[in-house]
Amino acid sequence: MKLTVRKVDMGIGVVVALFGVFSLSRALKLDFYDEGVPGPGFFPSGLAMLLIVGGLALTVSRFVKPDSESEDFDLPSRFQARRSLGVWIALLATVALVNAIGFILAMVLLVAMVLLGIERRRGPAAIATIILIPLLVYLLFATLLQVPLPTGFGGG
Amino acid sequence: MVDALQGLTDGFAAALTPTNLFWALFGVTAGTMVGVLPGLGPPATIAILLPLSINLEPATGLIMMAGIYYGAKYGGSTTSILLNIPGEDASVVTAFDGYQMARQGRAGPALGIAAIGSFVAGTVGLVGLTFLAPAVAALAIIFGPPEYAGLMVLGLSLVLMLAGSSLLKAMMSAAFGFLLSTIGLDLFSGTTRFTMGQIELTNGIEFVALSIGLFAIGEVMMNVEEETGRQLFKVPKRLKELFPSRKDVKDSAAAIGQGSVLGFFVGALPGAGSTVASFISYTVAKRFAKHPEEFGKGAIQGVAAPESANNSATAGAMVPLLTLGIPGSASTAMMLGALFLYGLQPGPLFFRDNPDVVWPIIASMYIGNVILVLLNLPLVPLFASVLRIPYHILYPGIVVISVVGVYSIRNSMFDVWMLVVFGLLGYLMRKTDFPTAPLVLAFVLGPLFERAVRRSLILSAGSPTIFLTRPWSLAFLTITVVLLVSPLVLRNKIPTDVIEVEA
Amino acid sequence: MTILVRARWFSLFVLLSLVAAGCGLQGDDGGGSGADFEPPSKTEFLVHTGPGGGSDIFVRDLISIMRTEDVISSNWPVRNEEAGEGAGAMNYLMGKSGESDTISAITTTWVTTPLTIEEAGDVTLEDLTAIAGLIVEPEVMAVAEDSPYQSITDFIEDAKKQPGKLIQTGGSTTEVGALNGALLQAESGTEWKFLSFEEVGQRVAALLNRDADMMFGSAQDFAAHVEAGKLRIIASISPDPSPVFPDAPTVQDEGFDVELVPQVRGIVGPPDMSDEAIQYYEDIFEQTLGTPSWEEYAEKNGLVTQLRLGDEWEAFLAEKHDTVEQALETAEL
Repeated sequence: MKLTVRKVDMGIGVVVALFGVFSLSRALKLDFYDEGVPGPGFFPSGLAMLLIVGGLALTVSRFVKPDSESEDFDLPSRFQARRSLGVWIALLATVALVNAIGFILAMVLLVAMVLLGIERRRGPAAIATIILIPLLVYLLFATLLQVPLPTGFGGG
Repeated sequence: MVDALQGLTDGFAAALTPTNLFWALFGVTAGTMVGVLPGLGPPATIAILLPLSINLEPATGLIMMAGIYYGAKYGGSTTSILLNIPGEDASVVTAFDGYQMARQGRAGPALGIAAIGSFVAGTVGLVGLTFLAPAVAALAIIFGPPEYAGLMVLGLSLVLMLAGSSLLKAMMSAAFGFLLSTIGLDLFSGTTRFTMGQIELTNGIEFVALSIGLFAIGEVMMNVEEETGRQLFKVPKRLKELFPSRKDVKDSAAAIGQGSVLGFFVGALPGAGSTVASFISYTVAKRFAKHPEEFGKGAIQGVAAPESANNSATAGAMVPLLTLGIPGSASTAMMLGALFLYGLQPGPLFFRDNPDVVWPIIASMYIGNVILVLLNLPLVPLFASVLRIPYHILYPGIVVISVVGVYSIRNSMFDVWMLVVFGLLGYLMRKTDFPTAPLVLAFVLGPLFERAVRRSLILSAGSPTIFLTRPWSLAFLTITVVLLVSPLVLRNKIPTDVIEVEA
Repeated sequence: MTILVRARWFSLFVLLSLVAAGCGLQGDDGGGSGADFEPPSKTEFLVHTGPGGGSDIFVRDLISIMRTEDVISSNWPVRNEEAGEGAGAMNYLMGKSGESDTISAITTTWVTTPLTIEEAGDVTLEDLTAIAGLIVEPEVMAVAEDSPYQSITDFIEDAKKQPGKLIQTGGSTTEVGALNGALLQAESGTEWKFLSFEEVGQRVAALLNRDADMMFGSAQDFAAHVEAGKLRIIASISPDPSPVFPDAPTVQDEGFDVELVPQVRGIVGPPDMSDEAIQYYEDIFEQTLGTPSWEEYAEKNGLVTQLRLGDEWEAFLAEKHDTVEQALETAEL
C-alpha cells in the first residue's frame, strides 16, 4: 500500500482530534464560567473543541477524496531519517546530560556526536570544530553576558 | 510644537557632549550584540549594566539603556534571517520571509532592508515621540480591555492570511498555539491550567524556546536529511548583490511606511509592545501586497514590515514611560527602575519638570539610530558570509547556540527541554505541511485576546455588547469584517491561498 | 578606516563589559559548615521575578546602594528564578541547603504561594533561614481625580448600595491588594469586583480611564499622577501610614476593625545556614539600612524601613503567614 498525503492527513486528523479530546477532558475540570463571566476553563474548552472539530474535518475532507488524486507522501528514506532524527536524538541525549557533566562537556559531546557519528567527518578540522564551537559559545554567554551556565559535577 | 522643537534642540546640545555620545555608542553596540545573540534580551542586558549606569548622570544612564533597547531590535533580525533562529520575541516574524530570502541567496538584501527599515521607522517613531507624545499618551489610556479585545480580533483574524496551502491546517495550528498559551497560572482565578504538576509550567511556555524549537531546530532537521556537502545556500560574492537593489527598496517602501506608523502606535500601548506590532505589520503588508502568495517564500516586504514596526515600537514604548511613568515592557520597566534609583519619578509632569533628562534621551535616540544604521550596513557582508561556512559545521553551531540562548533567557533547563520538544514538532509540521506561523501568531496574540475579553466581560458584568458600544473596539471589529469580506466581494483580488478552502 | 574604528569601539565595549562583569565567574565553593566561616567572595542574590519585575528592580537597586556605600566590595550577581510565583526560587534555595553564598529577596508573595499554588509542593517559608526583614511598602488607596469618593467610607457605602458593581483593579487575585480588598469586603459585609492586570501601568491606566473605581498600590505607583492632579489618595491600606501621603487616614481611623496584609520585603537564605553566615548577612543589611543612600532611596520611593533581624523576622513572617491564610479563607481561594 502506497503512503499518500491523503492517508497521512487522515491519520493526523485523528491524532489531533484525540489530542483535542484529551485537552477537553482536562479543560472541563476548570471553571467554565465564574460568577457570570468566562472563567479559566472557557477558552481552553473552546480551543480543545476547535481542535476536535478541525481534526475530524481534516480526516473527513481527505476521506471523501479518492486516493488516486493525492500525491505520494514524501516519507524520509532510512538514510534521511537516520540523519534528521539522529541530530534530534543527539540533542536529546546531551541536554539530558547538561546538569550532570556541565554545559561545555555536554555541548562538546553534542558536536562530536553530530560530526563524527552523523557527518562522518574525521581529521583535525573536525576536532577543532568540536572544541571551538562550545568554547566560543561559552565565552560569549558565560563570560561576556554572565549567564550562569551549569558547570556540572555538583558545582551548580 | 515650538516647545518640543526647543526641547529637542537643547536635547541635542546635551546629547552631543563626548560623554553622552560615548554612552549612546556603547549602548547601541551592546544592544546590537545582544540582539544578534539569541536568548538573553534587552531587559537582562540593561539589568547587567545597571550597576555601571548608576555612577552616571541620569540622562547619560538612560541614554545608554535606551540604546541597548532599540539597538537590540536592529540586531534581532540577523540570526532570524541567516539561521532561522529568532534572536528575540520581536524578530520571530522576520524569520518567516527573511530566512527564505537567505535560502535564495538574498541574505544581504534581507539584512540590508532590515537595517534601512529599522532606521527609517526608528526615526519616524522618534518624530512621533517628539511631537505627539501627549496625544498618544491619552490614547494609551483610552485603550481599555474592550479596545484590546477588538485589536486582537483583528490580529487573530489575520491567521487566515498567514494560511499556507490549507486553511484548515492553518486554523488547527492556530488553535493549538492558542491552547499552548493558556498553560500556566491564570491571573484572574489564581488557579493553574495544564501544568501537570510542573512548577516550571506555572509561568507558561517560554515564547523564544517555542519559536527557536519550531524554526531553528525543525529547519536543521529538514536540512540535514540530504547529505550536507559544502554550503547550504549560495552567497553572492559581488558586493552589489549583498545590498538591497533600487527595486528592493522601492518594493519595501510601503511596508516600511505602514510598519513605522503601526509600530509606533501599537508600541505605545502598554501590554501590546513590539512583538505584537511586528505581527500586525507583517499581516497588513501581506494583506495589501500585490503578490501576497510570495509571503512566506521570501518576500522582501515580509522583512521590511516587521523590522520597521518593531523598531518604531521602541520609540512608541518610550511615550507611556516618559509621559505617564507607565512601562509597557520589561525593558522600559528596567529603565523606570533606574529612574527611581536616580530619585526621579516619571509621570504626567516629567517633561515639564525634568526637561534636562527627557530631551537628551530623545535626542540621543535620533543620534543612536544614525549610528546603528552606519554600524549595521557595513556589517551586512560580514554577517552574510556566515553562510559561507560549510553546513556540516554551521548546523552544530546553530544547535549549540539555540540551546544556550534558550537557557540564558531565564536560566532554565526546562526551557531547553521545551526547545527539544518543539524542535521535533517543527520537523513533523514541516513534513506534514502544517504551517508554523499561525501557531506562533496565536501563541502571542491569544493570551492578550483571552485576558482582554475576560476583563471586558468583568467590566460589563457578562454582557458582550461592550465590544460594540466602545468606539475603538467597534472600529477594529468593523475593519476585521471588511478585511475578511472584501476579498470575497472583490473577486479579482482574492489571494490564491485563501480561496483554497477545504471541501 | 570605518572598519578599524568599529573594531576599536567593539573591543572597547568588550573590555568595558568585562570590567563591568568584574571578572565573570562566581566562586564554586560555598560550604558553610560551622567554625571556619569564610565570607563568600560573591553572593548570588536570588529573586523570584524576571528582569524588570518588582523584586528584581528592588534587589538591583539595593545592590547598587550597597556598592555605592562600600558595604560590599563587588557587585553581587542577581539570579532570576521566575517559575511559580516564588515556588521555583524556594526550590532552588532548598537545593542549596547548608550553603552560605546564596540569599534571596522575598516579598509577601512568598508567604502566599505555598498556600495557593499546588505545584509548589510542600515547600514553605519556614524551611528557609530567616535573615532580615528590610521594609514594608505601605499601600494606599487611589481613585481618579473626579471620583465621587472622598474617603474609603464613601466607597464602601456606595458599594453597599450596589453590591458587586464597583471595580477594584490590581494584579493577580492572590496579591496583597486583592487580599486586602477581600478582607475589607468581609468586614463591611459588601462585595465589589476585582479586575486583574499583569502590569502596574495597565492598572493605573484603568484607573485613569475610569474603567476601574479604585486601586490599592504603593506610593510609587501613584505619586507622579497625584502630583499631576490625575489621581487622589483617599486612604492608607496598612497600619503604617505612607511617608509620601501621611495625611491619608488609615482603615482603622475610618472605623474598620480589620488586620490587613502588609507588602513586606526582606531576605532569607537556604535551610541550615550556619550561624556565622547568618550573622555576616545580618551585619551587611543592618549596615546598609543605616546609610544615607538608603535613607534617600527609601524616602523618595515611599518605603518604610523596618529592620527585623533573625528570630524577630522569623516570628514576623510566621505571624503574617496566619494573616494571609485567614485572608485567603475569606476570599475563598
